[in-house]
Amino acid sequence: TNTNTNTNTNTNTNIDDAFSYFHPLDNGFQVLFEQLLLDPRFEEGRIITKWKDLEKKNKNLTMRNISRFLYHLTQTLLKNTELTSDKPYFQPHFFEATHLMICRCIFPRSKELVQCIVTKNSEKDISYSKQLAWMSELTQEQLGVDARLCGPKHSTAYAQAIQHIKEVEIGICLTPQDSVIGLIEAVHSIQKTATAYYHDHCPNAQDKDIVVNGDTLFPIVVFCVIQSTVHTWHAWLHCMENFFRKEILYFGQSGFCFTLLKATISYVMSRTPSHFTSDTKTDT
Amino acid sequence: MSSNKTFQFKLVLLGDTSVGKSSIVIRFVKGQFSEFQESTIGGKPKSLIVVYYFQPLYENAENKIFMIVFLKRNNKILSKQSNLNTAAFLTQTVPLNDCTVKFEIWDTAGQERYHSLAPMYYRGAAAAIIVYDITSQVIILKLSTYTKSLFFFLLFLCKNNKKDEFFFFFYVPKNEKGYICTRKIMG
Repeated sequence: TNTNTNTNTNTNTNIDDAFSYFHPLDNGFQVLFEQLLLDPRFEEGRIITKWKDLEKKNKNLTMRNISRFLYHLTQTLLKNTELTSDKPYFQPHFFEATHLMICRCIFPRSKELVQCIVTKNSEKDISYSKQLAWMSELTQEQLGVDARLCGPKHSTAYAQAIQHIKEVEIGICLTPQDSVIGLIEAVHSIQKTATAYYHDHCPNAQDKDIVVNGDTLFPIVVFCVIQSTVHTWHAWLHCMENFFRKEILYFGQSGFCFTLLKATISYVMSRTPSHFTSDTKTDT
Repeated sequence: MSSNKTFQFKLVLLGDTSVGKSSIVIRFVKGQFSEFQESTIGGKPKSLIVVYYFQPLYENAENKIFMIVFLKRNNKILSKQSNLNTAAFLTQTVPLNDCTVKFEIWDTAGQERYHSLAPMYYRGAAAAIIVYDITSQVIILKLSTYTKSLFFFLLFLCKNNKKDEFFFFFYVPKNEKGYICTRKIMG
């Protein structure tokens, strides 16, 4: 059913091994897949019907429950369609690619459940929103962005990266996988834009590749995350930490980008207005 | 004969801003280093660290000690680079006689105000390299802030500018008190 899922990779050239199975949404293909998956004549369709009933009755379902359910559903589908590892035509990414398509089928149908999870983290996110209210007024320089990497206009600086970050939000994004890929794209976009700004500021610079390092990347990420005005990051972090295995969260590009975002949220939460008057004097 | 066994290690670079963290990683991954080039943003280029390619010597799994020795240019190193293309995250694959080691190197923000965020970065890391300016008087104090929170093997790299020698220090937390041994290598 899904042997060609790795072929459509034109938009995800920045993804490392852990997400090499990833493919952008193909609506036509997804619809066909969902017809198969939701068909009540098959075991998977009946399992999903039972799950939806459980979802309606039990509002205390967690992200971990969803994750486990999707994992077992993927295993069942692969077993029933004879796409398991003992078959000669088995390919390494069968599981992840199928799992992604199943997630794209189930998550949009479980918006209410996801909203419940978001609500459970609302207390922290309300605090974050309060931080956002005054921090969004801070300039790139005040947030510690190197002068040579600042965009010409505050309102349009790093616009593409900010747009990517907006689309990462749990309520908007199709699945956690799409969300993490969006985040990686955002960091990649920051690198590209920062390089362009750098060469605008320093036209005689020779090194065209490496401009952004650990010291300079973080303040830009902070700026972009703040400007994205997304305020449900604690819910997002909770969902990701309960959905993905640690290899995704702490290793590779996905782990790096996830950690960047986590550190950003922690940093934003720890700041007070007085920090910025002292920071700009001593630390830039 | 080489086998297909591949080890993957996460390596975290810690240290103050503008001490040469990015120079280390760029030299290791891309083979580029210029003492005077303005290759990194964040401060004036300093000449306190000149990095040689480093290659794993052996892994002692029992003690969780991963030793790294700095060697001169090794042509066998593959120049595989992350597509993220930022010095903050790079990968390098090093083929050895009996295995292949893939490093993923995370560069962290070194500014004082971000120090509290460092533990998030070194979760799951096999090793950390703390880079510092050996001529700085406050270095001992700052090292102690890192080592208090690190629970794994640490490798400190530094250079004595006056004698043109390189040192690397191993801190092994296996010992209750921890001990530091030093080795000297020639530049």
